Amino acid sequence: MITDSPFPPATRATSRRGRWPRKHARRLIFPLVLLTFATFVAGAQAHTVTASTACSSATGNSVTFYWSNFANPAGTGNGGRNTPTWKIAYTPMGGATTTTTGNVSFPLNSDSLTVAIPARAGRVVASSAWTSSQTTDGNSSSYSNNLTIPNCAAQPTIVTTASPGIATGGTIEDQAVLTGANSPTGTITFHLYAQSDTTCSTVLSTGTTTVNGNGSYASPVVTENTAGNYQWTATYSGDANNAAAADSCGQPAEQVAVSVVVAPVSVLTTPVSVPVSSVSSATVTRPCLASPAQLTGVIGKVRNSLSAHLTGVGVKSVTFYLDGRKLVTVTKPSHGRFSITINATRLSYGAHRLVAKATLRNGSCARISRAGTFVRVRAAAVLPVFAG
Amino acid sequence: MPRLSIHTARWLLATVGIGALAIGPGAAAALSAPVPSAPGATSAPSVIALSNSPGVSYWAYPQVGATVRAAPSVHARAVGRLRFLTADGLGQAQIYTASREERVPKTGVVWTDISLPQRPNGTTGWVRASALGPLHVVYGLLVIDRSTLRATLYNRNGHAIWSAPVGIGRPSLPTPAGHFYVLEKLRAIGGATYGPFAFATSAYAPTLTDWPGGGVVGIHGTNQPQLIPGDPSHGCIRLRNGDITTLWHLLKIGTPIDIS
Repeated sequence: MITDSPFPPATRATSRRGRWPRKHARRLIFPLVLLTFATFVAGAQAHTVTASTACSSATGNSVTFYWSNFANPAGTGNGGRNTPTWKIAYTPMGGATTTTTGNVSFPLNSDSLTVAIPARAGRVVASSAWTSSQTTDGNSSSYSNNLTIPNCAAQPTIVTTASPGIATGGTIEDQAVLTGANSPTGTITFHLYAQSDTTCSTVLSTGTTTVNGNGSYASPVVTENTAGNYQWTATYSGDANNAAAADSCGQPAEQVAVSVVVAPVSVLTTPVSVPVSSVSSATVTRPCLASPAQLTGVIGKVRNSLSAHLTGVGVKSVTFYLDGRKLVTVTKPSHGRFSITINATRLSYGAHRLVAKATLRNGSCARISRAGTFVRVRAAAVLPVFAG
Repeated sequence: MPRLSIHTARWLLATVGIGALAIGPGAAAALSAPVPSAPGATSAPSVIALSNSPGVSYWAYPQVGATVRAAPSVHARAVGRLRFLTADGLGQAQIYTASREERVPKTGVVWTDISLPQRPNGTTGWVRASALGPLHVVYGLLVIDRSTLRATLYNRNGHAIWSAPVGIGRPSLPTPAGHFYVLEKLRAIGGATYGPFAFATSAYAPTLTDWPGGGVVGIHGTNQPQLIPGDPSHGCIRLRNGDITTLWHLLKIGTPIDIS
């Protein structure tokens, strides 16, 4: 049973009056008399609305709302002169608010109304009021409060995916997709742990993202300088309409490896001749790149814009080509990435090839090239042409 | 010095027992970094299943318009060609589900066994792994039972997480049985026939060859919910609009579909 107490603090204080010093009690007497008088005159009888615990079923449930503490107005009785009305309003998930009303007759000090609530209805808003038709006392009373039925909250799911593995010094992040929530607000909190931390007890990094609707949310970017295996967790806080959701520790999709920077044999080392006068032997090698060059953000579908990034420690500048046409040369990396954003709205629908050619700081090294194909697609809001 | 492709790297890791499944969904992307070369690679096994669990599947975007062949060889019969856009003309990105990879010891080339969304239903073929982008992982399985007229979505652990009655193809225009996958997720506009949402599958209606879009079997809502459950359609799978709305949030591109 969920109860929202309508009693004002002053009323509750009276029950503890005996423990108070006498002078305090005296100070309360006059205000209490005034309050009682005012209540009698205005007929503002305090009544309560409570609700049975509900929505334990995934297929819907009934919530019984109880109206109680109706006071029998002075000078009134049966006969239709008083027809207090009540109403209950509830908002099912994604739907419009529905209001149900009814009447009660005096003498009465409690009554109830059972309302069928759809499964996972979300926030339940209940209010009630009664009014008297008799003019001699002018009694009326109203009570309004929001009753949240916990188990009626929508049960969202959160699906998470960690960013690809990196070399030390690179950045990692997590992505969480929140679905099934009813106009969610709140936050998604991302935690980074060591993969060996099987209980996810020692947080290495934390970030929070504000939620505004179902959708995809990214964690703050973390620069990781220590090699090792890591894992993310993501937790949705929930709100009045939605239960909390989280992925558990040790999810496979949340693992990310940060590897030691190694110069790959194939492309990272190039022989460099050193004058004999300075070095006794003829040749030494030094890396062209301190980390592998990766082009990211290219592969996949694109509707309006595309952001591609080339990473690689040791890169001096990157020239991007789209379908063989030179677009731009980027000389200043941002967060270690040479990036380009392409307005795709003028591109034809279909496949396009983006090539990134990198010039390395080691001038004796050849340029390297990375490429990817993306597909510009139409909007996904269409009239289907299926078999039907 | 030759550089191994990400696909070769993935294959090598799989052969030593830490395959894509064991590493998890981040594996494909994690392996996009070049790895030290390993000439001669390995010997056996030559074919690696990308997943040994029905709840874990992989798909990829094409990278080039390569020929798909009946066997992992350039000399094998061509069974199709990689496309970048779906064949239904809706302008969506084509994807291909991948079931296994094979490294040809003689050439070192890695091939991927993929499903082709084309007629006849169930067509599969091999394409060079380098012709595909990184593999994406997807969890779950959607089962359409034509005898009980019910669709059930299972999660990666085999637990049913959603179920609803369906409408299937009428006897003269049956919904095909087989193993398919989710090709497109669409918001249906322009009429109430398809309800609010629709999925395109890799399945084709057996007899509707001249249908607009080629007769793709869709999963969609309806403006005739009273016909569900039943067999009122031309081969598509119809759901009540409330059910298709829920499924829209649960079902991801690339998810396998079993129609039995």
